[in-house]
This record gives sequence, C-alpha cells and structure tokens, in this order.
Amino acid sequence: MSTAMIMFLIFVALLLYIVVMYNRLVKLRNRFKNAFAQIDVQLKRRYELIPNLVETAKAYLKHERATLEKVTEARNQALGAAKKVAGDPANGAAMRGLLGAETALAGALGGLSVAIEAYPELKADENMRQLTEELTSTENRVSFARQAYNDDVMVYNTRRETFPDLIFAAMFGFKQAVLFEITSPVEKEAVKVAF
Amino acid sequence: MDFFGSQEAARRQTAQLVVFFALAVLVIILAVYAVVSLAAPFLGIEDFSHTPHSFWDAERLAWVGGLTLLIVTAGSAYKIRELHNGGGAAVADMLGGTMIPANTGDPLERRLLNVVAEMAIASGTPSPPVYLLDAQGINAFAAGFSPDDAIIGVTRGCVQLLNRDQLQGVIAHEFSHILNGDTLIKMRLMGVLHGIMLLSDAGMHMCTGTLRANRYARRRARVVVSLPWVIVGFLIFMLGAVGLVLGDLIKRAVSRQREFLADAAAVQFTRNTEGVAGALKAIGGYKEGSRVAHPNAGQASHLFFGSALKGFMAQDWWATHPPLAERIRHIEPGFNGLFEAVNAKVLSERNRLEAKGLVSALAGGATSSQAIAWEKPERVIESIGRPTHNHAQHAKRLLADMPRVLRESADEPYSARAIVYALLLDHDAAMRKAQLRILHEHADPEVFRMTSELQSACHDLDPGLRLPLVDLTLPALRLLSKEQYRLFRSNVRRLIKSDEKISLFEYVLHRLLLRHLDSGFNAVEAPGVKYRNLEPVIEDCTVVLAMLAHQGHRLFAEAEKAFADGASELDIDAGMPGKGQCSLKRFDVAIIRLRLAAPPLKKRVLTACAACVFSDGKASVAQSELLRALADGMGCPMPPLLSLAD
Repeated sequence: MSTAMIMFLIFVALLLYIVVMYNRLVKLRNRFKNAFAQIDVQLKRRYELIPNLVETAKAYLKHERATLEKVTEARNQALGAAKKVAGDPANGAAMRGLLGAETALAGALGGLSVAIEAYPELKADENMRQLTEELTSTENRVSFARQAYNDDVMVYNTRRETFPDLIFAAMFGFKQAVLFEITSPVEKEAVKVAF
Repeated sequence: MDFFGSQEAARRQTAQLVVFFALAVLVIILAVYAVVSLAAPFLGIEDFSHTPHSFWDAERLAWVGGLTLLIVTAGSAYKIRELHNGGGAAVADMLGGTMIPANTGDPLERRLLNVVAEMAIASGTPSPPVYLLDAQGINAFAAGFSPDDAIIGVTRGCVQLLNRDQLQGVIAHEFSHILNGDTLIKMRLMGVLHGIMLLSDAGMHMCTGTLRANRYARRRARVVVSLPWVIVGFLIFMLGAVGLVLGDLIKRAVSRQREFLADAAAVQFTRNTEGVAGALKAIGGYKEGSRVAHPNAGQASHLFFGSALKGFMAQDWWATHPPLAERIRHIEPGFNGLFEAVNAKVLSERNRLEAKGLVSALAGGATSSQAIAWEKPERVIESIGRPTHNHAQHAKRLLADMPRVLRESADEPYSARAIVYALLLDHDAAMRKAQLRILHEHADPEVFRMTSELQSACHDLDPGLRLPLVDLTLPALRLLSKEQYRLFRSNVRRLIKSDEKISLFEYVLHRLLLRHLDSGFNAVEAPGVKYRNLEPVIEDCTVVLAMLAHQGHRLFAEAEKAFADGASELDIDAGMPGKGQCSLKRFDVAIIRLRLAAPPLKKRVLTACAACVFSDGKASVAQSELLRALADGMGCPMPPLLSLAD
C-alpha cells in the first residue's frame, strides 16, 4: 500500500472522529439549553408574581418605599437578564449576568421579608399569604429545574474538558457552560424565610 | 389499508430501500472508477498494477470500490448510530429545535401543546415532545423510530400563522406519519443516505481546504503540487453530487405517496377538510411558504409537512413533496389553484388573541366507571393507528373532565412526579400510610407534601381517566435530568413493591412509564420482527387470553367462555390456564415476546383479545384499559374505546 493511501485513510478516519466528537458536543449543549427552558419558565412566573406582591405590600408599608423600590428595580434587572440568557443559554457572560441579578433580587426580597416582619396585619392579609405561598412554591420549582440544568451542564463541561475533545472544543467555539448556582448566603436565607 | 397493513408495507419498503441504496452505491463506485481511470494518467498518479495504462483493471477497481464503500458505510453507520442514540430528538437537535416546556406560559405554545395532547390521547400514544424550529415558513415534521421516541417539530411560522383547526390538521398529518411507521422508514433513509452525501461533503472540504491552505503558503510551486488535489476534490464533489441526486430520487420515491395518505388521515381525524387544506393554502399564499432555512434542512427534507427547500430543489419533478395545489385537490376536489395572500402580521395577532381566550372554552361531559356497551370489537381493531373524529371528540371530553389541579400539575416536571406517586397510593388506609412513609424517607420533602395534597384528587379520579392522566405526565417527566429520573424510577418501584403484591393497574402504569420514558434516557431500538407464525407464541397467547378472561369475569364459567371466544379466533385448542398459572410476571414476558410478532400476526392476536374481552358484549373500564395497555405494549397504539353512546 502506498504511503499516500495510508495517509488518506488516516485523514478520513481523523475526519470522521472529529465529526463524531463535534456532534456529541452539540448534542450535550442542546440538552442543557433545553434544560434551561425549564428554569426560564419558573423564573418568568416569579417575575410576574413580584409586582403583585409589591402592590399588596404597598398599602401597608408606607414607610418602606425604598425597600419596595429596590425589589421592583432588582426584579426588572433580573427580567432583562433572563431574557438575554433565554436567547442563548450557552452564553457564559449573559448567564453570569443573570446569576448576579438573581442574587440581587434575592437580597432585595430578603430585605422585604424582614420589613414585613414588623407589620402583623400585612402578614395576616389573605392576598399576601397566597402570594408568599406561591412564591415559595415557585422557588422550589426553580431549584428543582436548576438541579436538572446543572446535571446537564456538568455532563457537557466534563466532556468538553476530556482529552481529546478539549483540543477541538475551543476551536469549534464550545465554551464552558456556567452552572446555575447562587452561592450568596443572602439568597439561601431568602428561600427559607417565610414572609 | 389498516394499521397492520401499513406497518407491514413500511417494513417491505425498507427492504426496497436497501436495494435502491445498493444500486446507488454501485453507480457511484462505477462513476468514481471511471473518473479515476480517465484522470490517473493526467494527474501523474501511478497505477497500482504498474502495467501500461488501460481502462479496465481489476486491482484498481478493487481499490476504488473498497475505498468508496468504506467511506459510504462509515458515514451511514455513523449517522445510523447517532439517530439510534438520540431517536427522534436527534433530528430535532440537528435542525436546531428547542423543546417547548410542557408548562409553557406562552398562549400560542400552550395551544399547540393542547392540540398535540388531544391528538395523543385520541390515538392512544403518549404525547410526544414538541420542538420549536426558529423558521418563518409554515412547516412541521415528525421523527422517531416508533411512537416511544417520536417527536414533533413545528416552525414558529406554523405556530403563529395557523388557526387551531389548521394546526390540528397539520399535527394530525404528522401523527399519521408516526402511527403508520413512515417516520421509521424516513429515519432509516436519513441514516443510510448520509453515507452518500458524505462523499460530496468530503469533496467540498478537499477543494476549499486545499485552496485555503494555499492562501497561507504563497509559494508557486505548492500551488502546482496541490492543484491535482483540488481537481480530485472537485471530482469527488461531483461524484458525491451523483450520490446526492440518487439519494434525492430515493427520498422522493419513498415520501411523495405517503404525503397524500397522511393528508387523508388528517381529514378523517379533524373531519372538516378545512384543517389540512387550510394549512396548505396558507403555505401557498405566504411569501415564506414552507421554507426552513437551516443548513441541515436538506438532510431532513423528506420529513417535513411541506417542502422545506426553495428554488431548484423544490422543482415539481424533483421535490420530496407533491405540489400544494395537487395535494389540496386530493382533499378538496373543487380547488381552483389560486392562493390568497397571507398577511402574517394580522394573522399572528389574531391567533394570539384567540389562543389567549381559548383556555377556558372547554365543555365537560360525563365519563363513567360502570361496564359499558362499547363499539363492536372489529371496529376497535380497525381503529388502531387510525383515530377518527369521534376519538378526537372523546379525547377533548376526557381532557375537559380532568380535574384542573391534576391537569396543571401534570404539566410540570416538579409536580408530575407527585401525580404518579399519588396514583400508586393504595386504597387501604394502613397501606397508604406505609407508602407515604416510604416517600417521606426517599423523596424530596416538597414532592412528599404535594403527593399528600394530590392524593384525594387522584383517589376520586374516574378510573377511565387514570391512564390518560399518566400519559399527560410523560412530556413533563421527560424533562427530568438523568439523576432525577433515576430517583423517580426507584421511588415508583418502591411504592409498587410496598404492598408485596402487584395489582394490574400498578403493573400497567409501571410498564407504561418504563416503556415510554426509558427510551428518552437510553439508546433507541427500532422494533424488530421475530415471529411470523403463531406456533412459537401460542403459549404467550393463552396466558394473555386467560389473563383477560379472568379479569372482569368473576364466574369461572363466564371466564371460560371468554377465553374460548378468544382462543377460537386464533384456532388454539387449549384449556384455560388457572388463575395461579398466569402471574403478572408471565404476562409481562408474553407481551414482550408478542411485541416481536409480525404486524399481521399482531392483528390476529389483538382481534382474539378483543373477542375475549367483549365475549359478553360489554366490558368494564378496567378491562378496556387492560386491552389498550396490552396493545400499547405490543407497539400498536389503540385509541380509547368509544361507547355506543359516543
């Protein structure tokens, strides 16, 4: 067999291998992108609940306007950030932006719940109770969807960093995906606090 | 042709496909050989035989043939493997689709999922995941080796521009492809043809790759050296184009006739012709038509509802789809061939408003748990894979009867688990307590809480709604991650085993979940055929018939008569096995074996089963559900049974 022939066969084999690898990465990336849609659904629901919450609280919290404004502000920021990520969940910068906005929102909500503590009538308000209940349940759903998303991201990232995929991953623009994790202590607290 | 006939035909067509493919490969090899033979002396490539150059040379033919075959088989094998790993979802991924979450808040997407759910319940299959393609044209496709891994993809234009009837027509058309085994052939076709297309791709890369390399190496000598490569690459591309043409011809041969059949099936399902015909007219009048601008759309062109490509590839004699006007005329003979222009902006606005208002426009009807006089057994078998308008109405009623809290919970992966757990809770209070303790220990605390909340709703649920409810949870459960699914699965098993005996419902539910969900997490096998004759499966048939006979007939004499009615359909001369001899385990084995029967044999077995169930002219809901689960287990989706009152 001539050398040219052997070279050609090796070339073909290599080409095939790269195609296999490329498609596998695409598949894993699609999977975590689809998983993000689940988080997105829940986040959207939460963003819709928050204005109602603020509206209800406004009637009681006359002296806490700053706190309420902070919540509204943080919510709008997070909404914008989530829209950006939904366009392309593989975009690490956008994802980090969303995580930052979510942390801020969690902090603002935490502040609100502390403020509400001082108003027993507000806590007893039927509307308020329902909203808090729904918000908590949405939080749980977010964390469940987050778990699914993070599982998929882990699989993708591991594959991406394994030899020989790591040689080509960067070349083909497979960027490291960002875990949906909010590590700040404020948010952890906020989930637990009952309004 | 009934369901079993078209399944059989689909299989035969696969064989035909292989012949076509072999011919195509042969033509390509000859073409490559001719080119190499003619070009070799000019390119200065030395001949392998070192003898004076001649056109025919056995060794050269072996080399060329071997190499071409190697590339083609490697390409096809690769694609086939990829498709089997991902099932229908692999195709959606390939086309850049994103899955619509089962709990979407968008009214238009909601409407689409409702239409799909109705269709799924009416045809007795689990709701397939629905993918959205980001394309403006009005188009849709179905993919998958069997209903278990099937998916439906819909373009954004389709969701926005079609009204509910038209959307229903399109979805019914796609379901017909899934039910008739068309998608199976098309998936195979896609895998096999990939090898042929690979050649043209490789040629293209050789041309462009070499040219690009030359831009960096500016030395003239190199250009001369690599010029042959460019020529070879170009020739390979041209040869690949031969493959492309042949491949498209095969696609065309396979897909055109099936489009008419699917259109007809859709009309039968929606009853009014306005559904499919309206959608086709909208495509004709819309400036984007049914175009899907995605680099991989060509590979999947034969999967789409309308022609995905534009320009030369969509020419009449070339296209994978018959012309629109011809298709419309098949449904609406009086069509004049003129398309009304579609105003995309106005239409999408109107549909959005309509979808928003539609949520609460469902009317309720009564379902009953008593023994009902159903349609004739022959009609039941006929309806397999052929849902009609009556089934559609029935599905609508079922969905309307479903308590709202359950319907909503079923759409969320989070609460869908709780529904399945709650359905598995025992009627006996003590037992239920023990089961809840198991959940408390192993399941997420929130899910445990939800299960306790939902248990009364599930407990009071009409038995006829239980399996449809499970079907509704499937799309959401598919969204669990692998880890989450593993936990869910083991919890289901724990709940079933907790009472140390497995009831029929538990068995059916478990089978259903495993069969339809596992395929999403593991590689997909296309259902094969192992048994063509009755002999090897006689014992399985007796077990199944005996099980059906015992279920629902308290008196031994009645059961015996039911068994005899079924057995006589199959000409089996055997006594009925006693209750002790037909355990669920044995029943399970029997179904798994019967799944491998050839379609005509399946039809005989199912006809016998129906005769057994209906031996006294009526059947309880439990019996009818068992019959449907049995058909489902054998890979024959059976629509819900209609009572004579329907």
